[in-house]
Amino acid sequence: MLFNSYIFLFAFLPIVLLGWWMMRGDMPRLLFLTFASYVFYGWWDWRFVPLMIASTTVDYLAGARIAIATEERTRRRWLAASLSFNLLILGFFKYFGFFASTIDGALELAGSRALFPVLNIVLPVGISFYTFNSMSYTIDVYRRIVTPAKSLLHFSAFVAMFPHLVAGPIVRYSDLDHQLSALKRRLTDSDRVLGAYFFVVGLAKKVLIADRLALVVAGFFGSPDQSGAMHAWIGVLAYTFQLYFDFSGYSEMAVGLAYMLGFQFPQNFNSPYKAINISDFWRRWHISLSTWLRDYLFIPLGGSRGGTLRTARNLAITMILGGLWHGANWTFIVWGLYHGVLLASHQLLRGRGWTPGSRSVNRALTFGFVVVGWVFFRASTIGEAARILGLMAGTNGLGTPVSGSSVAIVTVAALISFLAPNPWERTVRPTARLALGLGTAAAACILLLDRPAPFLYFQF
Amino acid sequence: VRFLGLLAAAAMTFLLFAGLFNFVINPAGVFAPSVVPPLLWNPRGDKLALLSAVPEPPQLLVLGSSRVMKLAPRELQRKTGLVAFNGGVSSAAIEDDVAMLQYAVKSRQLPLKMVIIGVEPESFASSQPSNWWMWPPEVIHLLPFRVRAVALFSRYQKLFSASYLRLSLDQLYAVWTGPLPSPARRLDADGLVHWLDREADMAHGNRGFDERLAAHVRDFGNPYAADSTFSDERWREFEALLMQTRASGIRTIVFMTPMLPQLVARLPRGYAAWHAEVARRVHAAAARHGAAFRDFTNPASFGGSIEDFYDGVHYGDDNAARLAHALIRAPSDALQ
Repeated sequence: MLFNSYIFLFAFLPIVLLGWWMMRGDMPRLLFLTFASYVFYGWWDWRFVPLMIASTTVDYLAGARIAIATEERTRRRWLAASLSFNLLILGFFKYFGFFASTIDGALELAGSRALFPVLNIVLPVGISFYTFNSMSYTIDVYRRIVTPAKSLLHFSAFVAMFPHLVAGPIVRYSDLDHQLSALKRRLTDSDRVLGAYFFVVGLAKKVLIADRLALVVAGFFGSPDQSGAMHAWIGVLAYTFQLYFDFSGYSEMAVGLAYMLGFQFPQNFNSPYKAINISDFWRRWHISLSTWLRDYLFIPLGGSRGGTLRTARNLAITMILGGLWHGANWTFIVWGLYHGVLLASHQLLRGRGWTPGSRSVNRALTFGFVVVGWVFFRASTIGEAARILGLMAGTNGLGTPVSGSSVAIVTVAALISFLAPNPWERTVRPTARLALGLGTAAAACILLLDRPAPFLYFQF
Repeated sequence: VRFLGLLAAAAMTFLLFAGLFNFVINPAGVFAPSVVPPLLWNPRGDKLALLSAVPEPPQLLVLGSSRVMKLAPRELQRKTGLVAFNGGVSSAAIEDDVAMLQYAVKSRQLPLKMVIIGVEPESFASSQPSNWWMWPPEVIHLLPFRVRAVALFSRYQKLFSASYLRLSLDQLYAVWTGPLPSPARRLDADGLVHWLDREADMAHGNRGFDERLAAHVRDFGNPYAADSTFSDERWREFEALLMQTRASGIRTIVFMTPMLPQLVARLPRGYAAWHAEVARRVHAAAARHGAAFRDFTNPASFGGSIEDFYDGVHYGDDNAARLAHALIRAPSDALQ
């Protein structure tokens, strides 16, 4: 079910909110929320609901075992069992096809027969998000950062909670533990206003901006080879902003929905295109993923404690795996490696004081590097990415002029990204002006709902 | 609470205003008041109006998409002796054929003796967009059960959609600046279409063959490019339709509508194989349910001329006449 669909807005959400706030008792309420979240998930394909339930149950049991075990070896075994189970699921559904075709391709080149059968495996929506949610729980229980969930129901509600289920933010159990244990009995005025505010702002970012940019993106990436530099630049810039407005819009809708249910989710985007260096960018973009990778991968690898080379290696490994998390394709691996190299280079240059002094230059350079990275992120193959970068460099000349409407929507998106405060930076006061503004924006979004477009991050 | 009330009131006011504006302007002519002539052609509504007004009740009904709308009822009548009506509507999927047949049989109680159904892969594709909202409410309840609620919802949802609002504004602008653009097509009383724009285009040699093919792929590329998968529901409804005509003693001919190889060559790889698979399945279904099957995909199969195609799938009068001749070829096809 999409947040930007009639069924969600006019049936699912009102029913869930009514049920959630009218029900009494924590257990029935959590049961209701979990069931509703399974309906939300199963609306897309009910066959994958049992998979999520299995993953939830295994991690809950592993968490409980880790918590009661006294021997380190036993604790470690249960952690390994939980991580293996999650990685096995993720590996099979998300990466089997990729690795099988890569190995088969290599064998074919060597003149051997293919080793793996061709399986058309359907990728369950949101699997990368909920397995990461779930894995962070067992790791945190192992590290004694969180106490194990009170019950399987508490844990199921945490994993399945529909606002973050399919495209994040990657909420950790430590973020929600105390909130699930002390459910709010009534919706506060503040939650009501913040819920409506974040939800409508997120919806507007998606429907009014990202979906308009999508037309420009499709126009270019559909058949890039005939384009000149102008079309290539506008197409890639449109994608740069589409990805931001689409994904941050989703995250803010999720935050708004959480407020409507009386929960608080962490911030996932903090004006990333205002970043003044690549490290700063990763502190602002998909914050829940970058902090996850930092805490569960980069730091365990040694972080930046072992000198420049070791830090560079750790960054490269972390970012390659971060790239691979997005999808099973060489383009994501290259994108991750590219960011790993950028991060390592930035550390090196900053250490020697070789970074530019001007804030504007730093911002422009960072943005430029990020835009180049998105070409790999969006392209289907490395070859296509290289061709697009070539087009941007002018291999086909300047080409025909770009339509005014394309330039206009990209400019609007750029101005908002570079200059406007993000929704978290504003002080939200429940004024009549804000209500009228949000109401008008919501109506404009509803008018555009007849062709709902899925969120870009659903594919990950 | 006051904040949310104000927010909801603002949203409702905005939406109601848009809905009222769309209802009054009515750019597709699907709602009752037509203050100004509709800008968007609605063949579904027009065909129903014509079918309701025919002087002699048709005994032969043609069903299908815009690719059958050139089949001349007069030509078919000459061949079969049956009063014919062309009930094809543009962008039709199987459920549109179902709706038209049910309307003819149940609502109009026409004494049908023959039905000719033109199909193409897009008739069965799950990606084929639906235009159910263009049917009047009295036909919506004749659509297959699975789509009735959605059809009714989407009809009124159009009032609150940006795409319809844009049409309304375009229509208002056209009326304001006047004169209204001349219609691009016209229907005869028997449902035969005249593609005025396409005919003028061909007659004046405005665009070459390649240019017209390219324009067709550009304008209609999406349905072809989309993930070509069968809709199981549409397939079941097609079989149910064949069973119904057989049970009612209506002679049925199913044919694959023409598609130029030059167009197929421009479509995504795999389309030709998918087309062949659809033809094979349709043939088998027709045989199972006692219907005749003709594969007219290739114009050579009915003696058609490539010169008489507006684009890769829409043909002119000469080809339509040849197609009608080839359709009614066996003595059993001429019922009288």
